[in-house]
Amino acid sequence: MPAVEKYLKPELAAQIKRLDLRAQIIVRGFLQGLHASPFHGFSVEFSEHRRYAPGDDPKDIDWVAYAKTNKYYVKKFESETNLTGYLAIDLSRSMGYTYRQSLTKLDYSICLAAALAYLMIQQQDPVGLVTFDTKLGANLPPRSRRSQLPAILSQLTRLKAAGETDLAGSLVQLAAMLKHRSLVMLFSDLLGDEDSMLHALRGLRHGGHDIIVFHVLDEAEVTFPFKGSVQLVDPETGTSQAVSAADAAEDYRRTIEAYRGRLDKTLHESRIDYVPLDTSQPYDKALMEYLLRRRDRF
Amino acid sequence: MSFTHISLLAGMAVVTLPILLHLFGQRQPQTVEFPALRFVRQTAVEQSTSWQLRHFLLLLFRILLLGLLALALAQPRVHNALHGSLMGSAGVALLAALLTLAAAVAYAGRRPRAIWATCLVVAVALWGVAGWWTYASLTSGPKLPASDQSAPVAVAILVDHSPAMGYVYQNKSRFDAAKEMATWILDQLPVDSRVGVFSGAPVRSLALDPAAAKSQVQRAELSGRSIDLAGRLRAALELVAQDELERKEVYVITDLDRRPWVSAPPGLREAVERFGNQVLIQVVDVGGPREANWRLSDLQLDAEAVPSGSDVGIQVTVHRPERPPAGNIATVELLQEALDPRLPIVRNGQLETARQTVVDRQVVDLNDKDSAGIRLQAVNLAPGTHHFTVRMDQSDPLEIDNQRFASVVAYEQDPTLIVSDDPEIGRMLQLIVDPRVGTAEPGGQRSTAVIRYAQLSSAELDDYGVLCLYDPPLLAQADVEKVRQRVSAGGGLLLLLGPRLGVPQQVQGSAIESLLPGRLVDQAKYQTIQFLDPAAPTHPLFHVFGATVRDIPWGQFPVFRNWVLADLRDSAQTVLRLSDGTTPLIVEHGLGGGQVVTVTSLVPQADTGRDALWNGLWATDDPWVAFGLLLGAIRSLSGADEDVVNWQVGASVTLRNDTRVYPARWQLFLPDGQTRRVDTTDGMLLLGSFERPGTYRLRGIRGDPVARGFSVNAPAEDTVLEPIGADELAELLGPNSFRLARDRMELESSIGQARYGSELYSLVMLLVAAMFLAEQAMSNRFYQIKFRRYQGT
Repeated sequence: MPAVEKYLKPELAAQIKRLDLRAQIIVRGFLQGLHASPFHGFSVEFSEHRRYAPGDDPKDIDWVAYAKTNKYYVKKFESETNLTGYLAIDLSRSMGYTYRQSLTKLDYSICLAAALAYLMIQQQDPVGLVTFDTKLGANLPPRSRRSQLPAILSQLTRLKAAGETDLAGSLVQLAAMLKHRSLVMLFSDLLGDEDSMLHALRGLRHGGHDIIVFHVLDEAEVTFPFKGSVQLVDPETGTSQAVSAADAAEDYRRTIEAYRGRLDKTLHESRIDYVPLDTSQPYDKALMEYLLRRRDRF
Repeated sequence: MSFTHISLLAGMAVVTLPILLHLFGQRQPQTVEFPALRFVRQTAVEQSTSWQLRHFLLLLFRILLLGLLALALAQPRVHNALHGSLMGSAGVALLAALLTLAAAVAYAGRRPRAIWATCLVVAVALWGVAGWWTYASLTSGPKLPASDQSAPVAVAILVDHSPAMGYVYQNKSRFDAAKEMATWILDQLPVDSRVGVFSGAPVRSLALDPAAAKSQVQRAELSGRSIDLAGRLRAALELVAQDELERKEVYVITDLDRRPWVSAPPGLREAVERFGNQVLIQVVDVGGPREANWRLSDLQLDAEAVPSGSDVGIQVTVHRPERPPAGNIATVELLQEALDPRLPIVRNGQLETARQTVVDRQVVDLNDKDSAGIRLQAVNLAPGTHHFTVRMDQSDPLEIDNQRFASVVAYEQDPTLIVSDDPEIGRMLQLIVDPRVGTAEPGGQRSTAVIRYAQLSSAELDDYGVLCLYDPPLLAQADVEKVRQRVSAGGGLLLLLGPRLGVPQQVQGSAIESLLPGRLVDQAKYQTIQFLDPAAPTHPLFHVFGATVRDIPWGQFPVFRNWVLADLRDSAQTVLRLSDGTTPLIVEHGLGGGQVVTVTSLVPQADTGRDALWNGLWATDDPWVAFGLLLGAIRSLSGADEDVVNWQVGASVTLRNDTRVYPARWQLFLPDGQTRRVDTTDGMLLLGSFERPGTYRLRGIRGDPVARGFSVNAPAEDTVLEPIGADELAELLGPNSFRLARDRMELESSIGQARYGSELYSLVMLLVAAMFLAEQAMSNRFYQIKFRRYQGT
């Protein structure tokens, strides 16, 4: 595995303390892997070479390619974008949880949001940041300037998970705040009330916005890796339950899978992208989802 | 149930460990933050129930595991008879445990109620059955003796020494094999054990130690007759059961021949079953294969005493085996020992007897039959005791029944004068006294004479040793005096009273009354039939009947009338009486130096229909009893009443020994060359009983050497080799009351099981393994077994 690409793994990316470097190295690793992947065709600066055809600007001829192949190729550049992205991050107390991973759900979300911000800034897409718990918190309006990235990263490094969350209410506030058609990238563990949350997402979608829901769960919340008898405590509500891990594990896994499947199905019906993640998964899955979404739009 | 290491049962206390751990040492669950708790809580209540149930089952399995492990280490043992029952109950318990587990799994897995409830009900029922079965087996079944293997044992060893034990197989007799087996058993016993060896003489107590018992076993000898093994077993059981030692054992070492068991005493089976719980009864079969055995039957002699010059015939039956190995033809010889009063003598430790010569020989062809009777004959016997051996040339593994022994006394009989007015009766009495009368055989005419009463006054009575007066009339004083003087001088008188005496009043005071044993008071006629009853069965008069005198059907001979005697003389002895128990029929009394035998009911008397019949003794198709009584009377009076000289082994042999004729002291020569001195006691030689068949010779000195003797034979029926089956033995002794072994290995195993019981170690360890697997499955240490939610409709 190339040196940069390995940083797509959260546990390695976490070793890099500076968020800007972390975001940069994640994106570079992602793009490096992309060249050898079936998804070849995405591009940031240019998408691909094509044979020179009459009418093309001769300035666009790639002379390096000509030197290698003795044929004329022109670089095909992506067109200018007007995609406005919003990174919406859940700051509920549950987002600060991890059982045995190096990153909490919030850390993982921040890392991923930083990488996406870096990628978008690289494409000169305006990107903004909103956070929420019971209501919207920090709000960084979208800009496509290069100075936007340090502002976002600075904001991200200061985020802390605390308190309860009201996802539905926060989404309603966000919908009221957005003036233009935007791409809202939501980072949350979605452990709130399911119906109101879905209702709010559908409302946001009806407002004409594209939505990608990054459903970030801790690896333990997916695999239920506990042994023996455990007393489980909900950090938000303080309620607890003693269970035999061996007996409860399978039922739990089945239940959480059903929940994710239900969300996927329901959100897909509303044309909302749903990306189930856990904190042990590489970042490229989320980044790929963003690029797919961007291509579909243009 | 008992235990090899009972102290290890204390290990049962460790079962408290899992209980204490369960109660106090349960690990508190680890507290873990888990934001997605709401997805867990949906199944938490269901899991909690199964969790608690599993913990309870886990505790149960751990308790059972530790308890069973302690039980196994203590090495429980039970009586072998209980092993099957306990295996069965363990199987039921195992099934019950599995069903309990299944019920728990079904309940925790939310299976339909019908499933787990059915499993639970059946499991509870099976637990009940297993518990009851085990309890009943252990409380009502036989108990094991003390587990200390060095504890002394009370032991009775019965060594069968019947003649069939002389059967030789592979150059070793069954008896030798039995002695070896007994010695081996004794070698295994702790030194302070108490032993009784039943190999001959009765045993009153278990007084021997194993070493002394071995010596006694080695001294044991084969008997010539079959022993009562069943009776000895009962005696041995009672003796051993009374002993205070806790471990009790009885060994019966036999060839399992049928004969020693046929006379089983009543209640044997009950006794065996009663003592079977506390006494190990071990039967050891040393019979080995049963092959061919030729045998001779008991000998039947024409007579044991014959007048000198007579012939004697000997009947014997030859029996062949089912599959004779060397043909179906046998040669049987009669050997007669020469009369030589100087022999036998013991020279250089060897018995030297007179020469035997073959006097008759028969070849028996048994091609188409299993047995054949033959008759052998010895002729013209000189005066003296003759010893014969009947020998068969077929050799086989059992020698004892290939030859038989016989002794015959040829006596010189005193001449007998028979006085009778009925010539036919006189002739008949003459033939009874000496069958040679009227034949060409020499001596017959000299031995007897018949005259009428009218000739009595002129007869030379001194020429006759015995006078026989048949149905005498009232004799003249001179005739009576003449008879009385002859009898007083040492003669014998046989009075056969009948109707010619007239009426009692005529007899009373008459001369003939001086010859009678008492006063004739009446001539009785009976309305109810009276029968004969021997009053003195041992009287010499009965010797002609041999040992069968008590077997004679006396009740078949009615008496219709007889002379009634009263005021019997002091010397008078009633020999035969009527069934009323008082009326004498034959009376003997002394008269001077002689003897008088008086018969008060006329015999012989033919049933002609003319005269009133006095009794039924002669009026039968075969008047052998009357014949014997008359012959016995004549012989006893003439001094020719020789004793029985043919005996069976084990019988108490006695011989009359008139010191006026014979020496008072004799030397007895046994067939094996041993000698014994015998003195006369009250006119008898009390020779004791003998176990070895053969010719026993007596030699004495009365001026010149004098020889007598007798023969002892083994009963032929005791050597009929017929094994008794295990089923029959079980019927006789009761099933499960005894153990049977056929060789040392089987015996070792059998004794081991009986002494120390059946080990339950492997069975309990099997249960331990089952509990271990169940515990592991339940605790998920090795196997990922989970309770799954029932997915069915």
